[in-house]
Amino acid sequence: MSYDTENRLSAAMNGIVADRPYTPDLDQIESRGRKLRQRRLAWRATAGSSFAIAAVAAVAVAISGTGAQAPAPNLAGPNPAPAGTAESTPLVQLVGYLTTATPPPGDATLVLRNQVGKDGSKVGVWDLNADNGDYYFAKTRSALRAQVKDNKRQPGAAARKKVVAAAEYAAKGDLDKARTQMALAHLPADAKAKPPVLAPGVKPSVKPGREKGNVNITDNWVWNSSMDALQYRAGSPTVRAGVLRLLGQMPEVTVNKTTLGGKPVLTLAAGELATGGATQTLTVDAETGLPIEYATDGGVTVNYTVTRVAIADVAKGTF
Amino acid sequence: MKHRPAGTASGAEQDFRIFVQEIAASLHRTAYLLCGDWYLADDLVQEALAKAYSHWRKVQKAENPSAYVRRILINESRRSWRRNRNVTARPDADLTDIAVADMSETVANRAELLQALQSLSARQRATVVLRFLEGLSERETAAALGCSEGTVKSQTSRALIKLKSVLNRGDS
Repeated sequence: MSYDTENRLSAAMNGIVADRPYTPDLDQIESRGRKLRQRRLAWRATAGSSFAIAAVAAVAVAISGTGAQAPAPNLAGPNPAPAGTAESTPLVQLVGYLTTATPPPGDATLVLRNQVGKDGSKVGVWDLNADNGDYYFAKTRSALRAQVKDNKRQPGAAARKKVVAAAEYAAKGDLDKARTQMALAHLPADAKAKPPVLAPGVKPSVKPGREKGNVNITDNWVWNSSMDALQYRAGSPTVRAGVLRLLGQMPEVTVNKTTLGGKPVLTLAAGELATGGATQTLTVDAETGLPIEYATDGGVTVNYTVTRVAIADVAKGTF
Repeated sequence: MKHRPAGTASGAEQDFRIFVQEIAASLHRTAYLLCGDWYLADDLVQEALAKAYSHWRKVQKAENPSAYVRRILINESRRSWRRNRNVTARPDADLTDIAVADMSETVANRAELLQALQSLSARQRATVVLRFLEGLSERETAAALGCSEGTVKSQTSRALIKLKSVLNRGDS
């Protein structure tokens, strides 16, 4: 377009909006602004209170230490989180605690995955994910020792590092950036184009001549990669916090506080928009955020037992 | 116990109100061309200004407070656009038949231009609106959008080509 046309475009745009007066409702703006500010402060206060609890717990551990190794601190639940403000949800409170929790001892996360199939069949496997990105897999505890001893690392370290990094960033960083990072964690390095990142909960548009796909592809990637992040580094409170923040951002993920085996838990159920099919539910310990169970409606259920270990101990068979 | 210097709070509030009076109409125009709906534009401006209020100290300290708030508005409109991406532009009834006198023949009326604007990507639309409605320079537009001047140039160029093709298609 020529300079003249640009001028005309400018005039046309001004013509469109010229005859519409606007008076801002200052009272409403300031009232809403105050609410936004209070919400932000409430979030900080929750995190602050949780920090205080974590600090007290750390001091208590230090004082009562007897030389014997205490259970991994991140696996012990904190004192009940304070009620905080009316806007603090159990998820927000849990994230607040986790973001300030003391990093646990050990240099690897050991996960026992017990999978129960639709037909009742059971399979148990062991995942050992070192903090440096190394991953060992075995079907039995003793075989896992051999895998570590023989240095038989599983491939795919780069992708694992990416999802863990995205979760860690999500714990305290810009959530939208973290979402993009998590969604695109599995994008090949040589991808010709970066797929667009959709906002959480946005329903897909219907393209002419194509069936409506009821899945938000970004939410789907974030959901799946977040499950991966939990599997790789569930032992890290930061990763758990990041994953919970990312999942909490998606409106189609419903969070409920309930009990499982008498223990308070949070269930995070993702609907079709995120899963592309049946509802999938992640159950985490309401006090520690540790994953307990992952179930697909009408499909398999996976039970998790997460512990922190030292790779050297696994190699020695003393874990 | 610390005491806040007398008048500080009301002073900040007064500053905010003056700022709003200066910028509100411009934000409202921008919001309308970004979303194509006056009611949604009202909401976008209210929300953007509320966010500016909640971060008022930060806004005041910004190198260019107007650009800062414009950026909040554009981010809000993008969020809204993503939420309502299946909703097509709703040009007001009173606009559809009003011809724009001084526009080239490619732009027959306001509704067509509005729809053509909605056919642009969110970023291109924001670029065009800031450049040609608000008359911002490339540097100012880059500041408001949080991108480089080069990006503003390329986005503007692509947007104008697309606008032209959409408007010409309407004629054929």
